[in-house]
Amino acid sequence: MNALKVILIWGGLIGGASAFAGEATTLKMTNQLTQKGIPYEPQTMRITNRAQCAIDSEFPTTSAFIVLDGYNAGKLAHNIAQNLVRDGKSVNATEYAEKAMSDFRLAVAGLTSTISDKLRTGKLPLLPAEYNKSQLQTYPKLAAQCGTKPYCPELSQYLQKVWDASELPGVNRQAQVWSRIDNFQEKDFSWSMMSASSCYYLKKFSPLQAHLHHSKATAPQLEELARAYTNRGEYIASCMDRSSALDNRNVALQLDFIVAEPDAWNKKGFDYWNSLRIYLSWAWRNTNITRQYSTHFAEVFKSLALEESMMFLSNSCKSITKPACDSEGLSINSIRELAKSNGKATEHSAQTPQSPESNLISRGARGVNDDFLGTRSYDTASDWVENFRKNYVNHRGSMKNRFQSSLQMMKLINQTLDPDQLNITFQNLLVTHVNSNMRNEAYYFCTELRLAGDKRIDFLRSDIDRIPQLKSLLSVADVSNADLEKALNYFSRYVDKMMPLCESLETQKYWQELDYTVDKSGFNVWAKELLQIPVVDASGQFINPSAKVFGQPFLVWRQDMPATGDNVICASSIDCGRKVIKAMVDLHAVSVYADAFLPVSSEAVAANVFNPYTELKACKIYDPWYQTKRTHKKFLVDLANTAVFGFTALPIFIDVNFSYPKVTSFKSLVQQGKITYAPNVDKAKMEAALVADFGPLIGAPCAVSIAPTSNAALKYYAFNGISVNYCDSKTKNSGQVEKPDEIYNTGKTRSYCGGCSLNFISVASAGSGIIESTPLKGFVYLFRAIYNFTTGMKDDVNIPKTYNLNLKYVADTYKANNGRIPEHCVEQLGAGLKCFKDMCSARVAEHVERITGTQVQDVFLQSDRDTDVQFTSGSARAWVKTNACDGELLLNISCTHNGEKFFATKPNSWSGTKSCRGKF
Amino acid sequence: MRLIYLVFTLVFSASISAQALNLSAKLEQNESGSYQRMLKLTCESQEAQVCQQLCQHDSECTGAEPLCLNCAGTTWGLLKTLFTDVEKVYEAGAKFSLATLVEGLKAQKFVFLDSGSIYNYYGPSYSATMQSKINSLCPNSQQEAIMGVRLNASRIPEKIEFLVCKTPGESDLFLSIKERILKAQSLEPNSGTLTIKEKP
Repeated sequence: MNALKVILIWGGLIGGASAFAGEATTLKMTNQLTQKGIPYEPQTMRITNRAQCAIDSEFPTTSAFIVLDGYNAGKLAHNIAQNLVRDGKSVNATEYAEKAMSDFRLAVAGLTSTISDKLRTGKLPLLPAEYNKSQLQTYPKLAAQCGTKPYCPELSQYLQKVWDASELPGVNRQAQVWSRIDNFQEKDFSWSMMSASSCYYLKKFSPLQAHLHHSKATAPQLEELARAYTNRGEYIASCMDRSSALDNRNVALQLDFIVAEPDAWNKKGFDYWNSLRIYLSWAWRNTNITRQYSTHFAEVFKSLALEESMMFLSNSCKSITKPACDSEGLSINSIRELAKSNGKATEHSAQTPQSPESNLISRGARGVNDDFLGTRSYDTASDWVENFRKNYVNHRGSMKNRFQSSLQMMKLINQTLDPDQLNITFQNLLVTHVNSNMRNEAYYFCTELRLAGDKRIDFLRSDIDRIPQLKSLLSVADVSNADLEKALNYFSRYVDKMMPLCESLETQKYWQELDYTVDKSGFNVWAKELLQIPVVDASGQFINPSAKVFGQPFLVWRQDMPATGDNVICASSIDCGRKVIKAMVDLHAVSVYADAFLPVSSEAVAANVFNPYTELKACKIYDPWYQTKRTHKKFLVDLANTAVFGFTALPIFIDVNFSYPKVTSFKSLVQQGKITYAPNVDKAKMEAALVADFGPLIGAPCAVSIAPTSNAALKYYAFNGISVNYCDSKTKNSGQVEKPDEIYNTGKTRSYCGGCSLNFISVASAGSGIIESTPLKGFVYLFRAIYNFTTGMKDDVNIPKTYNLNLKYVADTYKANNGRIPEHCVEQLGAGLKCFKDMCSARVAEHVERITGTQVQDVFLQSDRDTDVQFTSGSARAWVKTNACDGELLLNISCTHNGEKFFATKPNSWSGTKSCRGKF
Repeated sequence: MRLIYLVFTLVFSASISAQALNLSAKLEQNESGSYQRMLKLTCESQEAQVCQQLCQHDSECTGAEPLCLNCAGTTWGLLKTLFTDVEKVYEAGAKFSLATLVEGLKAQKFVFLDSGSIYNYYGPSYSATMQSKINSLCPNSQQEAIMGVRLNASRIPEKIEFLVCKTPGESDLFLSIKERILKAQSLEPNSGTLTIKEKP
């Protein structure tokens, strides 16, 4: 009915049958597909607590959201409509846009399902996520050769061959064609590990996503779930549903796989998702499958920035990409902060952001599966997607702009002015303009130069120096390593040229004039962030300083145009200098989260956003087994190790086996020579100035003390030092467990206080002049991080706990009990079983149903020891009533009271009443 | 300075005569009903060899504009520059080589962009402001300009290579495009006056 409606609207609007003549055929095909190939009925749900959630992160998810942003498709169709209007056609651009967004959703869903089915049925081979560990011969070579180059032609040709083979009639995993393309073997196909897949359009987040909202199952929650399952049409629809009521601008599709062989899936699942994403991106542009879903836009859709318009999000604690403690993984997963509904600024928008690992630790211990991403705060799933996409796209746009502007600035300055010229013109200005404005401008310049360029203070310099080496930036469009090298080279020369000028101004007491006070509002925002100067005024508006012009603007784009507005590149040579510095600071800033926002990739982003413990576990910051297997001490050593090894900026590292839980003094490691310094660090000076004792870290985080020997020459810029002082209390735990998901802490609490007082200048002078990085920046973040993390950890500990629900069983139980879930059913349903009198009965029923394929109606357990006493635990005779016979089956079982240890005899030893005897 | 520029522009305009070619692009539906941009190059008799080389026809060649990977979106910084800042960053140069034009069209290496392009994600379709910025690269800013952009082997836009300046009723002018060389102004010591300082 909806399909018919769509045809009429479009036929009518474009004034005849010709424009959308192919629509009826398309709809017929897709409706068949909906009924035949893409069922939509959620079947299972896995609810986990925090510890289990962390464990689950290591395994591949069986469910993911495909988040679609219809903007690019809509804008494309809008532009097409405008072209048609120009050609005298009567079309409605808005309706063209809506049509294209709908087609886009259907095309992505349809193509995804096609590829998924090809993979599932062994018609397409898996492409290994870790290609360097694969036995394949050609694919790893091509993947390595293409590296960060997106849409690499060589890889595209390879995929073409693979795809062509998959289209051959009757092709399967055993076909000869595969060995001719590459060294594909049967194990490279996922033909047996999955039994089905399903795809839903998510109308609203509901109890059908209870695994994102709850960390344990209770009777009221199961009742909610049962109601949602019964009325699931309110919350989900088929991915291929063409109803005009469905929003196509912001879409969440849910893709579920039913896994037949969990072990095989755990081994190959990441490859499956990897393959799906690669094939999807390739097939979108190189096959004509999308014609089935969009008659009119299929060809232009091939030019659509698909990966920009979609992302895959794991819909569980399990992961869609293999977790790794690397900058790419941390950066990509950090986008979860943008999915929150609180509208707070995230670290991504900082002008000088901390590294993802620092933010990871400083966010501390967090709850999981408590809807921390606010999915239920919105009336519809589209609203949630809209908020997430809006935040993501805004940040991506801002980063792209900063990145492109910075590169452009560096390129044109490099082509136009050498550092000597800038230096001379700067000096000229100082001489010709002796006033407060000039003093201010010079002050801003020299401070910003120090912050970004001074190797001794090294707020940002070592980070900036690493820019050309960052893989994340090399995968960004329109940039080459040479561009970055050139930019850095220019910056280095510029700093070397300008720093002596600033130092001479200090020694000449240029700013120490009577009645002169620097106007702090003129700093660039990035500098204000570092100097802790407010970046907004009293009314909350950003203070955007405008550069002072001294005479004519210094550098303009076009000299044949008025030297005003955006024709001006630099107001003065000082302004040019500050823009060079800002460009490099911006390049560094965008590099921190570049992996999440900037790369142009041949596959859509995939992130594990619903499980913050993915990274905490991958980076060994959180150990889900710690409560059961480890002591608190070991946990803290883990934390220390992570911190030590996690800071790449540190010029020191431990090169011996640091076997915990032995209490090892960092100081003694220094003295024993077990701490190795980077070759260009003056070891003697570092040892003298840095006394970092990691010994007390076992119990209370350390103390770092650095002798405050300030350097007079730098005093003018002196930051008076940052003190990180804190107290931390540790509880000597002995977990007392009454129920599996509850732990009460008993024992005495011990408190520690520690402190770190750091003086930047003394640290800077402690290192040699050629030191590339100082540890202080890492330590500042580290101590704050540890403080936050350990504070959070005190409150909440867990042991792993899982509830595996069969949704139909939950709904049946709800229905059978007149709209409620009895308390005794919770544990049984949570174990994926139907509800019977007790857990052992439920196990018996599951056992009999699985073997016989019948429906068990009732189970009665009779204790072997005492037939008059109700069975609780041990061995028993089970009388089972099924729909296969009128009487009862009898089998012998043993079962502990919670059903964890269950054993039943084989069918050939079963007996029972006459009508059931020998039936199985 | 402005006078110099004016003289330069006049000389430049006079010295470049249009090639006897016309290039146009139009959205059409292909046999399966899908929209596609079709390019048409018409050759007057004096440039008949261009069409001959391109499609073995004397007066006209048509063909589909190639797929421009990810151009329907905001992926490429180059497209952003072309749609927003082209008049600042680039300037027109000498006549564009027709041999290169033929080679690129034949190999499906060129896409053509103007404010009405379906790949315009940086402003309203047919934005007059945007179009006037593009037109300003032509010798006569009254001309309508289309930018010719080369695609690389992955069909990714690589660089703007030429400009087609169109005057109604006349042949098109194909001009090569290059990045602008900027010149900074500087202060002479203690003078306070502005002078032009050329980069060596």
